[in-house]
Amino acid sequence: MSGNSDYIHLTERQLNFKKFLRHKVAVFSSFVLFILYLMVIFADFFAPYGMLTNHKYYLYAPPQISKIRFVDNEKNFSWRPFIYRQVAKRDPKTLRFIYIDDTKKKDFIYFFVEGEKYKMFGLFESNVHLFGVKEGKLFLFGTDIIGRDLLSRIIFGGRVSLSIGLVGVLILVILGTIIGTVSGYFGGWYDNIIQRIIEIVRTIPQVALWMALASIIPKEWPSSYVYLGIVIIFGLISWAGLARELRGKVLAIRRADFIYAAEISGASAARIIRTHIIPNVFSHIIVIATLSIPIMIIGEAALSFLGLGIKPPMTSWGLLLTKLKEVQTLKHYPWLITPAGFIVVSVLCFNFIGDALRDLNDPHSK
Amino acid sequence: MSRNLLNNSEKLIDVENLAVHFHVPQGTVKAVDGISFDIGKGKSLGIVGESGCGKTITALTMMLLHPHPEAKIEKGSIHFYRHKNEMINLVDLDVHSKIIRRIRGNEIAMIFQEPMMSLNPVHKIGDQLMEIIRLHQQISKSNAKQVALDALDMVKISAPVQRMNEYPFQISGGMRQRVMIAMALCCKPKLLIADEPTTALDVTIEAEILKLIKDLQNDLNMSLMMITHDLGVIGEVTDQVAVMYVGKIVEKASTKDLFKEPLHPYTQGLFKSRPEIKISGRLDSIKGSVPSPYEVTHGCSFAPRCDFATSLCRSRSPELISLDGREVSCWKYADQGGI
Amino acid sequence: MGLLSYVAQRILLSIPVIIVISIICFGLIQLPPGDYADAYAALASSTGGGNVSNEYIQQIRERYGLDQPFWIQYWKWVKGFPEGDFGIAMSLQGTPVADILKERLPMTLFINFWALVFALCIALPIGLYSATHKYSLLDYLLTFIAFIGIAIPGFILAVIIIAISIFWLDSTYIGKLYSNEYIGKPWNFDKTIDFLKHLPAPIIAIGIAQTSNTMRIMRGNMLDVLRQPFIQTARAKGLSENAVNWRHGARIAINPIISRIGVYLPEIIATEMLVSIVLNLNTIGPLFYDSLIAQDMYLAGTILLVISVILVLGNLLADILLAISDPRIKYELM
Repeated sequence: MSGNSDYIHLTERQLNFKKFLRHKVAVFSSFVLFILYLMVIFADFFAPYGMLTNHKYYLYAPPQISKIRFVDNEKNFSWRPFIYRQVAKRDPKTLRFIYIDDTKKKDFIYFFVEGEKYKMFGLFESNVHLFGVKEGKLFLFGTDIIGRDLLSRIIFGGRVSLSIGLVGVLILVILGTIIGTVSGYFGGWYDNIIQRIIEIVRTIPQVALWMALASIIPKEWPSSYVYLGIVIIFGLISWAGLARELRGKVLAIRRADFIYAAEISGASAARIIRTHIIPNVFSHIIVIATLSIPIMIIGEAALSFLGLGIKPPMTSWGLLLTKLKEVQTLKHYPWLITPAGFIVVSVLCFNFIGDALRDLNDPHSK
Repeated sequence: MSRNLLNNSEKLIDVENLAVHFHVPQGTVKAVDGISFDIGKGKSLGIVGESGCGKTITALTMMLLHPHPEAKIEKGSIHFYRHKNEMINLVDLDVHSKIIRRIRGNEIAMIFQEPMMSLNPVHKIGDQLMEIIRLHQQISKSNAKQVALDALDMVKISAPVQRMNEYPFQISGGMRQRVMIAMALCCKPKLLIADEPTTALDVTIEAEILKLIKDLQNDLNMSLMMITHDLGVIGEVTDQVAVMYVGKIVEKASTKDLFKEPLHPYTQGLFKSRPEIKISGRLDSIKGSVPSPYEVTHGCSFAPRCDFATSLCRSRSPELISLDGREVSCWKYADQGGI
Repeated sequence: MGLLSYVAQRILLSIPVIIVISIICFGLIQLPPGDYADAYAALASSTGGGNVSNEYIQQIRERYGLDQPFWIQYWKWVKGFPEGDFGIAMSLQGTPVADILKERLPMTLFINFWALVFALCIALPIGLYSATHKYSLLDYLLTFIAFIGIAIPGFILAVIIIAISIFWLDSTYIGKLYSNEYIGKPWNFDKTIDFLKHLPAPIIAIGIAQTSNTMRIMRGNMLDVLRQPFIQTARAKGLSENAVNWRHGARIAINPIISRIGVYLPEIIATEMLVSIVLNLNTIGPLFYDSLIAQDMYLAGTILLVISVILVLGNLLADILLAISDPRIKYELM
């Protein structure tokens, strides 16, 4: 019928993109992830304070995000949001810090405010932050035991948590694709041996492997090496799943007529794999890769939580949760569990996107 | 106004002006758009038409198996004359009611097209038979087993005792269809609805199954409603036949009359397009194609494809015209018969 | 072939795999530089036990044969297997590893088993309900909860559960598996009740992720199955919707799930390890963690090996279950 002529000229990629857009949840998740990654990449700018900056008089300060107001106690309205300054006092009975608002001092929240100096990526010097207060302190999510702003540490920690997934998945994809494709394409002995290896790798529970390999990392290594080590460990352990899936798909395509045609016309195996096989399984690789990222995020969080993962001075969402091993901490300072919320949100987003991508491949979906 | 072809004491099921509409986001599909027919006790009616004409929905609706909530019976009645002269209108029943469940499998039974997927793959054949037997008859397990064996005998399955312990994937397609028939008939229903029962079978098996159905119908004095697209099956098995097109019945007649002289242009087209076992000769097909289910047509729905269509055909939907003991829905015969 | 010979063949085939795994496990533990003696010294000095003299470290080495080449150590470990000797736990005063495991393993298996059962018992009916009431409000709600359940890591959930139980429910049945007064006492009725009260927390924390996943899979399976023709046949027989859904629909929908139990097991074991560390249960999790830190290779290596063997057996069990449940598979094997 007429009226559909707009669709005739779209490529498959464009059609897939349109189909993806119909999954509203996945689109929303992509948007959320985009914001998250933007935040952690330009962490110096988005975080009100530095990663290690500790504020001596604000140990375990409660979150102030609920205290942002537009109307003060005398019912004056201002366009600019503000908070009353928090002052620390010691509770005479428990000797803990308690914080009360000093209603005489109003700290207005400014955007693009000048604050701590930083050197973004070690290159650009600046002191402009997305938001902050000129005097006084703004701890949206509270502070920790030595007075470090939790939000800032979450943003900086996100660099590790969100990047480990990506880098680890890169290793996973490269390893898994090569091994899976070789196994499926060449078959025979290669296939047999690789299958046995995959079976062995998959039989040992991943978590135990993670823990064992993580404990191998020497205690003396600097944080950055530890980071690399963790990433490599994840990649090395997880490739088996992708390799197995790909082997199946490659086996299925292997016998197709167009592959035979290519072989007969003298194309080398490498060329066939590159031009015919990989494009066909590419979408599967993407789906598995996307769904593996949250596994790695959780894995890193678990390891760091146990103390086997990221070391200070680097920080990650899992490391930020370590103190919660003692239950008392959660009772007195419940805001410390906020990093878990970030973990859950990013995992959810990746899962939604991965699901939507999987639907794109599935001929049975709407 | 349709004439009743039978009087009430001989009727088993009487469908009047039945309409079943599907409500989907894209629009409303009138799958069954006001059809009427009846089936006499011990008689057989064939419903023939192409895919999508509404015959399967008609069959399903007879047992209130139409896919709800998407499909709804918009209007009409299905009068079912049960035992002891009790007549109930099936349309009045709730789809989940106990009464209709009592009727299903017991008084009205149905066999389906694909025997492989129509039998539960993980239940033994004996269990599937006994399930329906014990559902409708209050008898012991061992008695039910005997009834099941008798049913398998009835459909002439070899080694019935062994078959009882086997699974559907272990037997052939023809045998599976026999099992379906056994399952349908083990409670001796009054009406058997067969929805394209042989379409998925080899031609030689098809002949056997059709003969089996015919014989059983005679032995059990059962009524038969045969849904098919194959005129050959109609000729073999049915006394009466109704031709359906896009949800309406366009022609109703005895099988003999229909084969002798098809009246409706669509029926004529159907006969012409059957590939005869000839060496030469072109295949005649009906020009055009079946309209989309969402299209709303004014006038006769067959008019776009009809060689005899007039402006009247295109503007007004034809009414059912009675003529020599048969009925046809076509303006061509308007002056010949009564309306 | 017969089911029995199939099982025997599978077990035989897995023996080489287990042997290789044992080498890998043992090797992994040895990988970190240094050995138990070094770790002991490091631990001693960091916990305030003063510096340990080099001679003492050397003595430990000799005592446990830590200075010998890898293969000799490996052989020493392996040769005790037929007699049930898995070496000794150096970090636990030389208690035989076998004894330690005998103490902790049953509880680990018990909890894992019930976590799996819990997950399935909840997920299957809910998945079925979700499928038969597609797009209803409850369906959306359950799907939403399922997504959250998958996203929250098990150990975080454990922390949250602890917090909720202690601070809102005022329950003292969190953490550990027995209240203090019952540790080491023989089993009696009271102890059993106490134990049962401690159970829900770990089982829920471990099982939730699996529950959520299975719920969604079950829903998908049911939707697929209900589209099949034999469901129509079942209805045409006059069966009630319930009978159709359970006896015909669910009966088939659970088969893919049973076949996936082999995949669930490692996930459950992994989650159990983390959760048990948080909740301080006396199962294998905390034991493994401690032994890794102490580089106690007999203990850690044996645990790793035992877990792997459990997985292999679990997989086998799952396959047998599937063969029983789906006759088509059974006949393919024969």
